[in-house]
Amino acid sequence: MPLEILQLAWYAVIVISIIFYVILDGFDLGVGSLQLFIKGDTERRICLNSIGPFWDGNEVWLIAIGGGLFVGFPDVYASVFSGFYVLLMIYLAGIMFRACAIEFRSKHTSNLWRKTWDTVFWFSSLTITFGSGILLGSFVEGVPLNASREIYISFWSIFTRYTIGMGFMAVFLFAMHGNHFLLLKTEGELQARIYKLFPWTTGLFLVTFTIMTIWTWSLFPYMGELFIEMPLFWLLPVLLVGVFISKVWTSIKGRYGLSFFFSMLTITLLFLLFVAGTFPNMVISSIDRDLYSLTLYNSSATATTLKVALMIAFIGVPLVLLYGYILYATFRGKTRLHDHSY
Amino acid sequence: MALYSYKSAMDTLLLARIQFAFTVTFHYFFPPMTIGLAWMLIYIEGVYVRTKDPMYKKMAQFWTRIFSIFFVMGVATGFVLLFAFGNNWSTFSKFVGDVFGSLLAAEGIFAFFMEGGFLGIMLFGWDRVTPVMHYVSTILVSFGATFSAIWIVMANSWMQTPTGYKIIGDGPNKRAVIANLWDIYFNPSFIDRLFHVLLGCWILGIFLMISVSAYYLLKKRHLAFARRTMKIALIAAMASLLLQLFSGDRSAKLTAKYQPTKFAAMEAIFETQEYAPFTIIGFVDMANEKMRGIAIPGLLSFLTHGNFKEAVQGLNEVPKEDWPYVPAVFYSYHIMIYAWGGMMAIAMLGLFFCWRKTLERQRWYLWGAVLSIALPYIANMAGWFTAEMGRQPWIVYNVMRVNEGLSKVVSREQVLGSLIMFICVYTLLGCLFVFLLNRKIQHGPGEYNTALPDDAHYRDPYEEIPNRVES
Repeated sequence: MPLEILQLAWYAVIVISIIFYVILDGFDLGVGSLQLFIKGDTERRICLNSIGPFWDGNEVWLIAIGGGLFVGFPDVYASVFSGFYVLLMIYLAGIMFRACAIEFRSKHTSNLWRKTWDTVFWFSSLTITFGSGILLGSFVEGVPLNASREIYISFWSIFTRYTIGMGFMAVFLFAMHGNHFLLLKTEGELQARIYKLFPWTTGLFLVTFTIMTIWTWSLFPYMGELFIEMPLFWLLPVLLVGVFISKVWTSIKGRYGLSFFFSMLTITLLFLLFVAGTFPNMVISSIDRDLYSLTLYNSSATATTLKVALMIAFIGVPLVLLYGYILYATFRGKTRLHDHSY
Repeated sequence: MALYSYKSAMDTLLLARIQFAFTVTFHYFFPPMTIGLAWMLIYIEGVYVRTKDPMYKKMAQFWTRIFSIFFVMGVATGFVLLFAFGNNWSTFSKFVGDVFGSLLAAEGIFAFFMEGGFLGIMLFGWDRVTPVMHYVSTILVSFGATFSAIWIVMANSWMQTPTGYKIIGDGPNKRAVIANLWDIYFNPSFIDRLFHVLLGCWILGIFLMISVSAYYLLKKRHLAFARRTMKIALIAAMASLLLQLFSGDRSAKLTAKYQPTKFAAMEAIFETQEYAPFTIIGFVDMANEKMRGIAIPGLLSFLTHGNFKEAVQGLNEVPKEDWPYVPAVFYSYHIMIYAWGGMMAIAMLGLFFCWRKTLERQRWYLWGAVLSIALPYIANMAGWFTAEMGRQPWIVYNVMRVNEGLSKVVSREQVLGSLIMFICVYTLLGCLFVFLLNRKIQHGPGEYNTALPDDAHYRDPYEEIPNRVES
């Protein structure tokens, strides 16, 4: 098999892993970011337990992305992870605190204990989401990647107006996604209360999304190049609008399963817009975009390694999907508290 | 200026090494216990599924809760290590990405997804799925935990005894690529080291059972549970400690063959010598390059080669710049052996008292058994310290030096800052962990004669459940 096909195939694996990560961990991060807006201890426990069996498996997709980059695009892995050092350290702290908050929150009855962990859960979810947005924004904007494939960037210069905007968009996107998940998982009065948050999350996302789309295409024309070359890609934004409207409509109609599905589709299409804009670049160099950028063609591992990796994915991914199916099928329906709950 | 940059590069290297050592050591408090506990749960829940004895259900649920605390800490601290390869060791990552990356990716795909997915069912699915399905989930979680050990030990073994690769490019573009996949996977030390590590995890799980049961026997709580667990655990401990002896012997022989410098450092053999001695107790005199203490002459030669005469290669065969720091390797190796001896003593005494039916009256022994949980931890840690510090100064044995693997763009301040962050966060996490584990163990498995009502999960979620077990 020619090298380009292998590279493209592995790139597709990475893109699919990222999509799975954002649609799955996206909802549990979103539930986290809404935690402080839900009042009452039992109510908060229900929200926390709605993601209880899932969040840990969802985070594994992050490991899959990291491992996938390490094996298939070692240069991307090495330059991004060392270049965004401080941001990723904060990200790590967020992951650690969040895991502990989820696990420890309900293990003690003290009011202060629970309120503290609720705040930690909320704040760490926001930090992770915002950090992801910043990272994505940086990849659109380009980073100072030099000829020896190292990114020399100081921590504060990551925060430009554009990346901060992307950070906020990510926060509202996941909050909206988490909101849909909670509507699906709760019932009765709590569900009615969560429904009241829905116009807020949707509205805020819509505003930031509109601003960021205009901003991206006016400031970074290369993000739109593919749409000019191949007008077929205009299907993506058109589909996105259709899916988004269906999502809002089904929510209003109370079809929460369907609206959660449309919410997953929304995120998928959003990410595909990003992929279509940056393809075939993986890390865009702001020093010289054409010369120094890491593309999927110039930064991959050898053909042998890609073949091995694809074999692993070929055997592994169906298993992973099967596990996921069993897990989500087991815990379908409304969340109720019982003896083993958090 | 040149001098300054050299110095700061050294500092960055040292700090990055300290950071990795610190984070990986902290991490290693948790996964071995999840592996050990998972296998134990297969046994306990298996008895429940077969006999429907509610006591075993309570036991399984109790140990599952303990498992979940260890698991979540293992996941949280494990992310740090996946990131660390790219954060601090990006030059190493570029160099080994082709070879090493596929092992980490396989670990994620084959191990973590299995573990992470079925853990949900294992923790929350008691009332949602049939007992058999729950049991299958438990089995899959323990398989997942074990698989992760397989892949990560495979990756580490390749760093110890690299085979099956070839080097392409030169200078900064130099990298190791796959020449023969099966030689990479089944590199010479992999199988033996894997069994050594897994037995270590298994023994750790067993000693947790011993420790907790001894505590309940002392406090006269949950007696039926504690008596049964104690007896099973003591027998399992004896068997696995004996197996570990054989596994250790094989690992040492392999080290002597493939990593003679490390082996020489483990026993502080400075000069190649016949009738090489095995040190019982001693200290390393680095100034005179001698080991001082009590040693049995010829025993090391016998253990390595099967006869008392044959020479054991000393450190003098390689230039000093290729030596690991001998005292560190020597002491960790011997501490591991002493810890094994301590565990053996606990297991033998315990079995003796069980046989004499006087176990519950031996309060001094029971206190010793409570504290004995430290021994397998010491052995596991000391064993890894031996393996990793013995590999120095190489990051990939005889292929790449540690100082060549460091990230180029990362500054001393960044590494120092993140190290401080990890120390603070881990101190906090460590305290929380001990606090919660203690609460769980104090609480115990609960009364096993009051089975849960069958309608537990059809309850109104807003209703306060009477006699709710705080979980």
